[in-house]
Amino acid sequence: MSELRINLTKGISLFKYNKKAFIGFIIILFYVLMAIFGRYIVPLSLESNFSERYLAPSLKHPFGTDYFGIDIFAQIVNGARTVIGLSMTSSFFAVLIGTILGILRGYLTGKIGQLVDAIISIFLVIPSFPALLIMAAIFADSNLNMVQISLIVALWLWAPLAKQVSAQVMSIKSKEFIEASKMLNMPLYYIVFKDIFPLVAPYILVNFAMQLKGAMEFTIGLMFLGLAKFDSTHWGIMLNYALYQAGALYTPRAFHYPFFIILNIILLIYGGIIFAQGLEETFNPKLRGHE
Amino acid sequence: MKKTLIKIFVLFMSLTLIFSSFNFSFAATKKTSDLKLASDWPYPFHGNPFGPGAVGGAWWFVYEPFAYYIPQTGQYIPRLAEKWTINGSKLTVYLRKNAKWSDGRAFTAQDVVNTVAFIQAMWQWPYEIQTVRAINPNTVEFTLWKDAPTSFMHTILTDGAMGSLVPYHVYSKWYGQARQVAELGKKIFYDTQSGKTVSDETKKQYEKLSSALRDQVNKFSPYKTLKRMPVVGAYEPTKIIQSEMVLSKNKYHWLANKNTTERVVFRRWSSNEFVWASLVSGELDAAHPNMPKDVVEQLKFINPNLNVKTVSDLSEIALIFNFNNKLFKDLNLRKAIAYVIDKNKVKDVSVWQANPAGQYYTGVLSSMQSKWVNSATLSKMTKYTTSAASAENILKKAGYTKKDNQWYTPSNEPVEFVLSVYGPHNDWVLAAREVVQQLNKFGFKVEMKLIPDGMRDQVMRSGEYECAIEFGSAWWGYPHPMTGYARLYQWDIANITAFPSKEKFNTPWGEYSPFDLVEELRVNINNSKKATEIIQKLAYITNEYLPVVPLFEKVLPIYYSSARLTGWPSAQDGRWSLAPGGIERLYNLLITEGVLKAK
Repeated sequence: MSELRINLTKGISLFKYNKKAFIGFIIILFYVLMAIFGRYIVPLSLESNFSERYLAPSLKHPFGTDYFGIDIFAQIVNGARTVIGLSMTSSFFAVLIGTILGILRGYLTGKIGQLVDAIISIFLVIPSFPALLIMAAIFADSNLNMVQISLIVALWLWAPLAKQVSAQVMSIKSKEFIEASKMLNMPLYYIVFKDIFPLVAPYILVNFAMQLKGAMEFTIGLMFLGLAKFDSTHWGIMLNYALYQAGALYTPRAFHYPFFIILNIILLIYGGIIFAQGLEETFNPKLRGHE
Repeated sequence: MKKTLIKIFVLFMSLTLIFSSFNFSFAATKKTSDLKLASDWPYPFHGNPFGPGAVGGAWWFVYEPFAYYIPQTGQYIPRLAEKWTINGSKLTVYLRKNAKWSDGRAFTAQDVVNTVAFIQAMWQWPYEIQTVRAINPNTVEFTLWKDAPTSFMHTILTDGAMGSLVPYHVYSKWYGQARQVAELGKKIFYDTQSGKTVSDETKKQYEKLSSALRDQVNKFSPYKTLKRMPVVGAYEPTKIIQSEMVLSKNKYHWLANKNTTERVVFRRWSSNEFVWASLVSGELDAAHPNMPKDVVEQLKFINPNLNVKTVSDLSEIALIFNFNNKLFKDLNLRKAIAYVIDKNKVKDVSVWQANPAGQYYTGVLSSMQSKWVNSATLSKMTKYTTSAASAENILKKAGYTKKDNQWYTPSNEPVEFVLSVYGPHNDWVLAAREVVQQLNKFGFKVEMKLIPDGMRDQVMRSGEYECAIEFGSAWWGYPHPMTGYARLYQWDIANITAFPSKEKFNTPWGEYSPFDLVEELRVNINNSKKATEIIQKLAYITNEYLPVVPLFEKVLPIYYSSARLTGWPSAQDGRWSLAPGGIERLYNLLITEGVLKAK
């Protein structure tokens, strides 16, 4: 416990010196706050007004209006809850499954190790879209909640991470300090969680941020397959409308429509990436060479 | 060294740019007698109409019907047939004597007999044709089954599959088998229809024969085996790759001398955006993608040669209800929904070029309403102008209550339901989004659910929906109100919604069942006075009892370029109405008759 407190204190103090981590943290915090409180501050009216479509950004409509004549800013703010909620939960599950199975595969040998490897390989090669179609057929009538949907998304995201983590663990487990732990008869959980996990943790954090994009894409797929509740303010759905239904790329006066949606998606993912990179720099002794 | 490399790179890039621009300007100015379109086709191409994907967009260029029918003028344009006569249930078709397959063989009545046997065997349709026989090489006689509607004569004459799908000289080795399967299939069908029991042994025998035939015919690829696909149509597929399908002129076609277009070139319709871009760049001469209003304006600005003509697609998009759900059994709720929905807004965001649904929901397409429903009948009907107040009055009178912007039924249950919509149909999704928004604003709790790709039929037929966006009345096949009413009260819509169409409904003329009225209309289809009387009753029932709530009449926007071609019909020309259900028919008619040609 005291060790954790020391680590946290160390992290927070280093946070001050790591601009990347700080900026990333601020961006993520901004979107999380937007997801929690946004809808109470910026009311949303989804009433379409075709004559007011593609209005340029103004004080009344900070991001302009979309193809339906609806305020884009209000949709971005109100859609943040679904985006952040689904993407982060899905990424969390993907990282959790990928990390556990990746470490197991990397550390364990023999038949169990091979079995885990086979599971990872199977999930790596299953084409996700046909599999989602089958799942859509199976769960067509189920009212899935956010956790269930996130688990479905995570099912198709965890395998590459598991493969990469297992490779990292394989290289770490032959290090002297692991051998030392083994010679001291330290239990398996100690070796896995105390010796190995801290070394792959930054890598996992970076992966978590990278998974956000994939999770967002999958969520849109699920909505279009009827598996997830359709939310027209989900940023992915908004972007789909802009590009494929409204043809905003072919209309100069609609430039702002996809622009602001893409900007927010990029910002969220970028925030996640630099936060993860910052943390890696903070916790990884090799990258903290300046100290 | 570095500098030299950079110089070489810059030189290489400059040369590439110069040559590609030469190539581009050459391609742009080169005069060809091609018609460039966009479509889909199976790849690898097999040339077998029964194989997966059939022949794709080449259909109307390679197969010819006996005649084309122009819905706007009611005129038949003879194609494979020179003329025809109708005598009771017999249709005699006199084939064009100078019609030939593209390999030079004569097209005869035996080809028609062969085709009917094959389609009945492979598609289990059309059993409405009881017999077909060759009177002589140029005359073929169809006899309709006793219960077949007389309107089926129209289908025989105009369906592209009926005459020239299966050349006898190519498929003759399976003719005997096909005939056997078709005869047995018809026997089972007629027995079933007349309430007789079909023995399991007969069914098993049919399955055995049918699957043996299918196995052989489905595998056959004329394009691979014969290295060509003999066709009776004006064009034969000659070069097919993944991205492009080229059809070359059939020199034996009876209109070959008039036709100056040597090739029809299809680009793969990979996405609407690809088609938009191809129209702008002049890579396509015509296409019919759905296009948002602003994109159309931009495209016309960039490419002033681009014109647009919209024609009715002979169908309406509607809100349909599952009548097994007790919520929708209440006419008051359906009427309230009809009043709440602002159809113009739905049309604007969904398909801006569509024809408005109008204020009466008669089951007759709105663009055809004035022709079929008289003003006296309309004056007896409810007029559905968008009015939340009218909807509220209806609901309150029926005992519905509203608390905290949520409506409750007389039994105090919230009015909540899910609106299902087929995901791949973008315009339907946009319409559903708007409908959901409007109904929620009024105080119903409505959620939208997308039906995944390929699952529409399954969801609709199994009734796993509460309310959905679907085609309502549709006049496909035989463009007449009877077709639309049959769809609403006897066929697809009646089946998937479980609307009680056999029940009697009150009308100013007495009590009638719409199911029986459709039957009566079918019998009296050629008696225009009687038919009009029946249509008034059906229109009244449809408007007052709302089996569906129409949102808009679907249109087909045809974008065509006059940059390379001349001879496009004027906006008022009736031939445009040939496009719904097979737009290539229109192009084929225009180029084979030498009307549309290269400048």
